[in-house]
Amino acid sequence: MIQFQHVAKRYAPNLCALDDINLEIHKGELVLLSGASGAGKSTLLKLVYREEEPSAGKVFVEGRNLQSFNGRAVAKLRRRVGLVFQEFKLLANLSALENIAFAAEIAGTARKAAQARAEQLLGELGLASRRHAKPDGLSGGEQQRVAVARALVNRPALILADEPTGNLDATAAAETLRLFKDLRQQDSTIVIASHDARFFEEIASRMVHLEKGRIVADTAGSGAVEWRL
Amino acid sequence: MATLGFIARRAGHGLRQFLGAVILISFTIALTLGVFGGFLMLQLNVEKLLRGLGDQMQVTAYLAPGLDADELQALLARLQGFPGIAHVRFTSQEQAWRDFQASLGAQSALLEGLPRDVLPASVEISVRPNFRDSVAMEHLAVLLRQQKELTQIDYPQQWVERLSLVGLALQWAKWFVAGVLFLTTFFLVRNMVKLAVMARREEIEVMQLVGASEALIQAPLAIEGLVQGLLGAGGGLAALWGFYRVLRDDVAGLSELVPRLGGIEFLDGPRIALILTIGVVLGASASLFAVRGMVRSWHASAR
Repeated sequence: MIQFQHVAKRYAPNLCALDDINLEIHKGELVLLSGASGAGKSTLLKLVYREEEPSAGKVFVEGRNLQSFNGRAVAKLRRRVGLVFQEFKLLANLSALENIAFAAEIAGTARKAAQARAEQLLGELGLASRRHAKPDGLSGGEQQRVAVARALVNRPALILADEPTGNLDATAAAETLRLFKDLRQQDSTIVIASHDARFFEEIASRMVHLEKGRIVADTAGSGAVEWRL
Repeated sequence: MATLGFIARRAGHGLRQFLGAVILISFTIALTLGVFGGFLMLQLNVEKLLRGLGDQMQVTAYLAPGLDADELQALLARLQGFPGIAHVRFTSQEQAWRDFQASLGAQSALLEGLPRDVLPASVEISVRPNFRDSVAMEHLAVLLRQQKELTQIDYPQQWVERLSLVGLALQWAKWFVAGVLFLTTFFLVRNMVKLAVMARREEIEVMQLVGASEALIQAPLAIEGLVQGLLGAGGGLAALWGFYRVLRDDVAGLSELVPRLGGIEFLDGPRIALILTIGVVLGASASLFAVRGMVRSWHASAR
């Protein structure tokens, strides 16, 4: 599903975020990208949804080289990818329901259908009673669930989550973990970037560890997740 | 259809959310278009005044003595066929004498003792409005001088030249004023829109992340600009209408000042449509330019 071929990303001659990354992520995998802050996890995710472009090498999603994508193709790609961020990125002036339906409408879904889908997701994520609340009226865990619902609203083939529990307390983080566990059971391809590998290891099918922009460990093909940091 | 509805709702939402900026931008456009509309109104009324003056501008061609009735009729028919001539009127020697006498009024007694055929017969020629410039008039005068039945041609050459100059100056001044005003307003509005867009940076970034195309991001902002332009143009016209009413009703003596004007006129339909169109184009284009530049620079800086 995703393939990195000798990918490097440099922000400046002496600032190398990623170096010679070769990685293949298959459909249905839940891959945990781990590593310290600055290891290159977020950059790697950004390359997948073309927020960043590689300085060298190639990134393929579903067999297509992302470098060949124009603006329209990038927009189309992002409509098929669900993104979850540490800082949620919810619009403050929209309710939980509107934030979720917003992404569906951008993908071309009619308003009523978008709202129905948003209602359904809010129900599934236990937020039905909070649908009219604005983000500042929601707890951190609730905001993250709304963000996950927004990521799921267009039934994406791929979900990318960048430090999804980074801003959450222990209870909310556990809620989020359970959410991703459910998603994995739905056979979605999920890539989670987190500095806290232990937190997600129980649900990950594969763990990839980055250090200073290079992959230093990958549990691919090892059968079970036995690798420890 | 779903996308159009989304765009319209986003535009409506933006207009409500940033009402202060909407009022400021509309006011700026209203000010510009009010001044431009005022200039158009001035031009309209000055042109009307000039037309009134032009209607009284005639060429007088004096006839050679001894023309018989047939020769006179043939000449009049020939003159009527010349390009630019609206109509011709024959004035006999007797009529010329009476007109002159009448123009002297109480002092007409001075003419006693003079023979009544001392003044020559003449033809007064009215010229069509589009032939009242100096070149066309000179061309007509040359043509008339070639007629052997005419001895002398008189026309108010200085007036013709002045009217031509005033018309030309107004045309140039209109486009110069329009150019300066629109360019200034365009940049002013563009910068105000930039500020409004900056306040929506988060929203635009989220739209980009969830897969909104560039067109989908720009369209609501362009519509907002269009609405602001329309509001501005409407406001400018309303202000101008108020100014016109004050001039028409309350400024005593304006009609006496320019009696040929017969009351000042407000802008006609095509000019009102022009102002509304300029408002719409100005608002939408300034928004679009501001948004395109900003969204692209954000996109580039994110890489």
